[in-house]
Amino acid sequence: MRILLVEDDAATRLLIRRVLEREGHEVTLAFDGVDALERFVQRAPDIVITDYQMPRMDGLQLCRELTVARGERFVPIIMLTGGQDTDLLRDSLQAGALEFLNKPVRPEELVARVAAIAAMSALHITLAHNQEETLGEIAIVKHLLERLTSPGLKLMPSGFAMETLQTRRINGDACSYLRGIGGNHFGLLCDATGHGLVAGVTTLPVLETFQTMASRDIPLESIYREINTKLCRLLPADRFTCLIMFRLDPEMGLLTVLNAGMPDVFLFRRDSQELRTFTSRNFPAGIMEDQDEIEVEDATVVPGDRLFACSDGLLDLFDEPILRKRFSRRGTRYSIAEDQAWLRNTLRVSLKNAEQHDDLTWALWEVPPPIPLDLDLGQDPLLPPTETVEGLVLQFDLDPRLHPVRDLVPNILGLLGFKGVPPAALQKLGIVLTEGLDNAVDHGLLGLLSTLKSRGFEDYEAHRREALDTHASGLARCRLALHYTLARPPTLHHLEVEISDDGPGFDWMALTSSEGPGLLAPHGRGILMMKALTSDLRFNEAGNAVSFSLAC
Amino acid sequence: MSIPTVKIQGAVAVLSPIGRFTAESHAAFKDAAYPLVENASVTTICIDLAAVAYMDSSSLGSLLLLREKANAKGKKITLRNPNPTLLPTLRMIKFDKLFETTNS
Repeated sequence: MRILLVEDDAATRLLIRRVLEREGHEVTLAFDGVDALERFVQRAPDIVITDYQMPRMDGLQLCRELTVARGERFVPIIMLTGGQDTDLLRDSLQAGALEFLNKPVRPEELVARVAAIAAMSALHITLAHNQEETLGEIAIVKHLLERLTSPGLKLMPSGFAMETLQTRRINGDACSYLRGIGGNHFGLLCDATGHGLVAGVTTLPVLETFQTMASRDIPLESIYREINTKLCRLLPADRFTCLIMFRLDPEMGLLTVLNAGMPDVFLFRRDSQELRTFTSRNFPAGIMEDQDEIEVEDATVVPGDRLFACSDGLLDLFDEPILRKRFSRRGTRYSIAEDQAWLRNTLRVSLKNAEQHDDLTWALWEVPPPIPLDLDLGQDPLLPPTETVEGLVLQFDLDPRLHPVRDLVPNILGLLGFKGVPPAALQKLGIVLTEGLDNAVDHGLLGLLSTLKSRGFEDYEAHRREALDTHASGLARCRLALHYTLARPPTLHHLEVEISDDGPGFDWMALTSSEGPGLLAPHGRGILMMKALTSDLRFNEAGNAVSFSLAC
Repeated sequence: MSIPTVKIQGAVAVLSPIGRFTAESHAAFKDAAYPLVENASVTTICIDLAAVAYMDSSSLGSLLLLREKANAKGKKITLRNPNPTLLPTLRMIKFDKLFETTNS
């Protein structure tokens, strides 16, 4: 230990110094209080031993000065006194001294007292060090979590609100929002076991996986599978994460919810004022690695419908029936902004009255109106005809019973992005490739009539699943060619895409003619969208092959 | 939570935690349950939840940890008599599917 010894009497000074040095301590000498303060700053001692009576500044005043000078650091002070003067002892304690030593000093007593104080001081140093380390760790996780969540939450459109209220510096709850390729809205609420740092760390792989996959418009089931596999491998058996994910396609008016261990999600219908609930149908992530069926629920929505989800921290404040009643009573009488403010305020008041035991996250979204499809949206005219060569050709055939289109497309886009196809072209390609392959499978192979879509998405999906079950054979085929100019340096010029299927073909002419269903009808809209986004859209005569180009 | 009582009837051990089952109860629960996993004559450990008013996520984790240990020894964990206030939570996270759950 580094010890600062403050004593004006030379004999005492020498005695104490010798004893302490023999014990292995490093001793710095000071002759009075003023001198001591200077040495204190220079040497940063671990323990101070000071006499009471000294010229210029006495022991009491020195104690007071030292308590200020040491700041947060624990530096015990031992006061040397001449006797059992109780007033002096009291004043010394009040001034900041921790221990006393009677004069004349007896070496064995000095050694014992200093040893006890040194042990205490060492413990304090370790604790302070640990605390610093913990604070450092917390700061890193907090930084990562903020980096992962805040950019998305800042970009939320009006009418969407998501928020997490935490019990500690680090949260076991988190929420995230982003818009994927094709403009669909994705939301995530998750609640990891426990609170604090460990729970916070658990949410990191969940958030990261969600953001990477949702941005590519990968289906919620696949995102859940990936998160689940990761958590099963990363976490010990007693840790898991409950989560809700939603995907909102405002163009199709389709909401998809995946609830894994969270409280019911409410969908409040603007027109009928009915409340639909989405109950948890899946295991929380991180419990069961092999799961046969992941269940999502679809609902058709119209602009103005409202979606509410929360973590169970909220159910500590309100029972579910109360929450349900409050929402039903409010209906959609108020604007979404007023409802969000009402919810924030209700939470603030409830939290003031009750101790918050659990982290709490909520989301309240209002389905936005679809953005009118702009036919000039992406019609980048191809540059004047240039000599191009096929630099990379991807070709695949898929059996829809084994490989859903929506699982495959994001991977292809990922590869093409890696090969230098610019993001704007990728975004369009994502839409038209999905549309084209869906058409090839649904209408070409499964023979579903697109007019079925007018009866609602759920009905259409049911028909689709049935048709898939009875589908015997036949493949959907796709050829994607990247065309380059051979100038120096060679540049990617455009993409040529051909999609075909083994089916008999369908009457595409009726859908694209001016008497067709038009852009606002639920069916036929896809082809018009493809036409709007691409150049040179052509069907073959049979109606089972389509080709188009996309400028890069 | 007070220390859970344990009754062994043949190959079935019944463990009854009482009160609030939270992160703080983990040690007491572990001390009562883990010897049952090591007990060669026990093949099924039944957790009787009749007297449990509340479980937090950490205590649900304790059940998962016990399940992992028991499964490794070829033993089964079952749940019994979950209280009506507890049942929605267990259903929400599908524990009623993960553990055989009965009412007696």
